[in-house]
Amino acid sequence: MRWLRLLLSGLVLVLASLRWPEQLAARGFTPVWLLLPGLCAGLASTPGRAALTGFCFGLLADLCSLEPLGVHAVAFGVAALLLSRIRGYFFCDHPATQAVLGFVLSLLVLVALLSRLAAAEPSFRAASRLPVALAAAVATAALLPLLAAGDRRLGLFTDSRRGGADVQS
Amino acid sequence: MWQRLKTLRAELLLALSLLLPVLAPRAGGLGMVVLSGIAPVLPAAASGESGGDSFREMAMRLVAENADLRDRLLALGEPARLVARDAAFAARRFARVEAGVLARDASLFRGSLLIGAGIGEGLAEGQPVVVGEALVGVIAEVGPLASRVRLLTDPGCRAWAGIVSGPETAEGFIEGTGDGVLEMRLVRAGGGREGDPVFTVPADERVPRGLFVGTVRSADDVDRDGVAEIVLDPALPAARIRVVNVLVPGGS
Repeated sequence: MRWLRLLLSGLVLVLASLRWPEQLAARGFTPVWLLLPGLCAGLASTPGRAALTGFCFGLLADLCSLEPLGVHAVAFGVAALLLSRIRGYFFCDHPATQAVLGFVLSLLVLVALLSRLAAAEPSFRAASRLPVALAAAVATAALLPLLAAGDRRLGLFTDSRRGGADVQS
Repeated sequence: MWQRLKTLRAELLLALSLLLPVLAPRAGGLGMVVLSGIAPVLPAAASGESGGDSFREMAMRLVAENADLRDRLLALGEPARLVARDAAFAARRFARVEAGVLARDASLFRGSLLIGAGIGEGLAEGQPVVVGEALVGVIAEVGPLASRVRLLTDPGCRAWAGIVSGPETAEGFIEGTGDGVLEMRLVRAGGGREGDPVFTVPADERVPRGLFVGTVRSADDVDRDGVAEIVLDPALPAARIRVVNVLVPGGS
């Protein structure tokens, strides 16, 4: 059943990232939908599981984009792993802390993606896209506490419903 | 040592996965097979968003966009009209495959569209994608039921084009910048002025000459090296593209 829930939530997130209105996306008012599961897993799962969740949803993002296979996967996997490693130093049950961590990590991921594209395509105007990245990081951070709360209840991206076995860091 | 490695296995696996972009730089084929799988779900989402589009409504919108582009072309002057007439002859070598836009790119920084036509309709990589007589992109990846269009504004898109400025045409190549405009390179200083129209030139046999690419927004030679720095506005912003035509070989 958990796999079915995971599959359905993955499909919903893929549809959200593909069908998000262009007018909003152009201004950056769009969360990085497929990064959210990795960050949720990073808040509540073991490092290995968090990295795997981030990596798999990153692969989905690669398949839905012109980017080469593995670019989003590695970036999302590293972000999820980093969050699972550092969460012990913060009071991560509080939504505000989750939002701040979500903002910092999603901004890091987006800046990394911008830098890669700027290095690969000389005509790319990376500086003009920084405000878009900033707005997208804010949107992602705003959604993370909501999704984390839903995840704690439903156990979509973590196994937190199974007696907290997965909540050990 | 082994215990230490076990605790770091997630980091080691991620480090190994850095090889993935090198070993499989293009996942186009696999991606398009996966997206073709969910393509039947996507048109429903499209009709929901726009309040129930029928084919008739889409066709009417396409006609309106055509009329808009034709008006803009007529306002550009006699040389541009001659280029457009030539384009009409050149375009006879191609058949048009109409396809609706199913989705946008999942990345914030790339410009691509998923369209509802694939191998079965004769689509192949590199074919031009137009709205009316305006070039908006080229086919980047083809799948069984869906294909991905790389928009002209995507940073990885390049094409040859010419600025029609008075009786002369200055050729150069255009590149997407990722922020909604195009840059044109290798054009001599004075080769284009603000408001001049830009059309495709016969450089690639898959792309007919004379397709409208956009208009010159600014043309300067800031560094005085004899080569102009030209910025173009594309013919259509990506947000307005709902239905496209792919030009495939085999017209009348």
